[in-house]
Amino acid sequence: MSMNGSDILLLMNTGTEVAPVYEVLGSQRGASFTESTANRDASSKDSRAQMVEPGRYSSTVSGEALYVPTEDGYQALLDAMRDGTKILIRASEDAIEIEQASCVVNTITRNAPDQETALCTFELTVDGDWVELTS
Amino acid sequence: MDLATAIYDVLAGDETLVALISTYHGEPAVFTQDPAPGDATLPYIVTAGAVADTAFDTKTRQGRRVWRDVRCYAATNGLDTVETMAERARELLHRQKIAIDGFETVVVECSGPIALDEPDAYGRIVTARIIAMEDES
Repeated sequence: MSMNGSDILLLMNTGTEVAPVYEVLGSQRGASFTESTANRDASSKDSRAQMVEPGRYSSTVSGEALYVPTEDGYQALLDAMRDGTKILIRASEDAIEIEQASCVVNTITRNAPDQETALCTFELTVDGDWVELTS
Repeated sequence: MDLATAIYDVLAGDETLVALISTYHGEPAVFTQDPAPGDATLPYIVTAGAVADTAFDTKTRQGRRVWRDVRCYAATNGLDTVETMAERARELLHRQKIAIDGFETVVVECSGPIALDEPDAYGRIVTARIIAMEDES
C-alpha cells in the first residue's frame, strides 16, 4: 500500500557529531530523497548496442519547510552551511527512524514573497552511503 | 480557531471605528452572529462565519487559511458613514498581525470594500484572507 508523504520525515542532528540529537525539521512541507548511479560505458565494437556497468553512486536530499528562523532543524542546517561542516540527517517512516547519512549542505534558500508564507528550501548531498538503522 | 473573538477585539477595540457605529447593550455594535439582533440599530458591523476555510498544514504543524467577511451597514442616509466604516475596518485588518488565541498569524490581506447595499441599508463588505499556524506545543 502506498504511503502518505506526510508519514516520511526528515530529521536533523541538532546536537553534536559526538552526541547527536535528531529532531524532525519543523513545519516541513516536502522532502525528496534521490539516489542515482552513473553509467560506466562498457560498449565495444562487438555490438552496436551500448553496454553499461554501474558507476558512481550518489544521493541527494532536498526539501521545503515554512521559514521559522527559531526552528532548531533550520538552525542546524544554517550552521552547517555557514561553518562549512557536514550535517547528520535521518529519515523516518511511520515514526520509525530507518536510515541516516552525513551530508554537505549545498544550498539554503529563503523565499520571502509579499503577503504569502515565507518558505525555506534546501539541497543536500550525501557523503558516502546511507546507513540503515536497526531497531 | 476563535477568529470571531480575534476580529471582534480588533474592531471593537478601535476608538475611531467605535465612534462611527451604534452600541448594543452598552457594547460596540459589532456582531459575530448572523443575522444581527432584530433590535440592533444602524450603523453596525457583522462578521459571522468564514466564507471559506481550508487547511494550511505542514507535515509537522497544522494551519488554516480562512476568508472572512466584515460587513458594514448604515442607514440609507449614511453613505459616508458606511464608506468610512469599511475603510477603517480594512485599515485595522490589512497586513496586521491580529492576535488569535492558540495561533500565530502569518498573513492578513484584505480585499474590498465592495458594495453590498440592501433595500433599507447601505452595505459594504471587506474580505480578509487570513493564514495562521497553530502554536507549536
